[in-house]
Amino acid sequence: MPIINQSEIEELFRMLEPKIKKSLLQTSQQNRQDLEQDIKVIILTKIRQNVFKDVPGFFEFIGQEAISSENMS
Amino acid sequence: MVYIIFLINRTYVFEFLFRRIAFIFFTNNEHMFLFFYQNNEHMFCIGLIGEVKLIVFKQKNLILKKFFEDPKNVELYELYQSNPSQELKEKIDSNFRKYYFSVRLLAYFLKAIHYEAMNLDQKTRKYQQANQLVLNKEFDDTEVSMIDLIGDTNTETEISSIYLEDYVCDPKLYKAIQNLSEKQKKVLYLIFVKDLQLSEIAQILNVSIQNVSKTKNVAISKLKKEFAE
Repeated sequence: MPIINQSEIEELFRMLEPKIKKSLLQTSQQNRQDLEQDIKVIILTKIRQNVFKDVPGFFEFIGQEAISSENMS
Repeated sequence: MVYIIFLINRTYVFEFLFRRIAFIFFTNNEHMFLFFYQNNEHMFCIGLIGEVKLIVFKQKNLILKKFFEDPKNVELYELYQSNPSQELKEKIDSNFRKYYFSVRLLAYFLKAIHYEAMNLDQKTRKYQQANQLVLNKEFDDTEVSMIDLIGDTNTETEISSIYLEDYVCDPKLYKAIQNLSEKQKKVLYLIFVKDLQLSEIAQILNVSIQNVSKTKNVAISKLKKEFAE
């Protein structure tokens, strides 16, 4: 299970920054800073909660995909 | 039933299913291979010229495609193909885990941010609507509202009212004045608003000066008493 360290969190925030900025546009000017802070808090709490506990490995993934594509055909 | 044609290392891969048996046909400029396999477990080679480099890549799988866009991963995988060892397998697994994890995390947060922003925005809007700052909304059991209490220090507006109450800003004082008699109000109005002498007021009201003075004192003490409550 991958564990996120501090620098990876920073990297994640850097990648999400444009999306956060864009989402701020839907609220009024005086609420934007509040909203930004709230969103960042939520991201951090979600990371702490470890939302993705089960990420499959490569061969596991191939197996899963093979089964699902077989069922489809 | 031909499924896919896609390009990996300039190798064309065709895959098709026939009676639940998958046939895979690789070709590039130098080599041609034909495989068939069943249940993803056993793979048989029908015709082979040269070295086998690739295995089944499932059709249209973006995750795998993107994963193999990194030449390091391709190299690792080719190494594993020619020399399958537990160590290499674990390395591929962990690389893929890292990659897949980051993809999932990013996808999740891109959606989550959108919805959270919407939720929070709605919340603040609701709150503001519930707690509006209405200036002309009257206070409970009076006719005075917030806007009446805002003093404007920049302008000196002449109030041309003949009622004493209209010169008062404080709701408490306003209420106290309303409890005075008509005569008391009139005397106070003439003294404090019109700035007249007691003698002049006595003349206007056609009463004695002493009477005016007494009325004024009574009225003020009454106001004081009411205001202190």
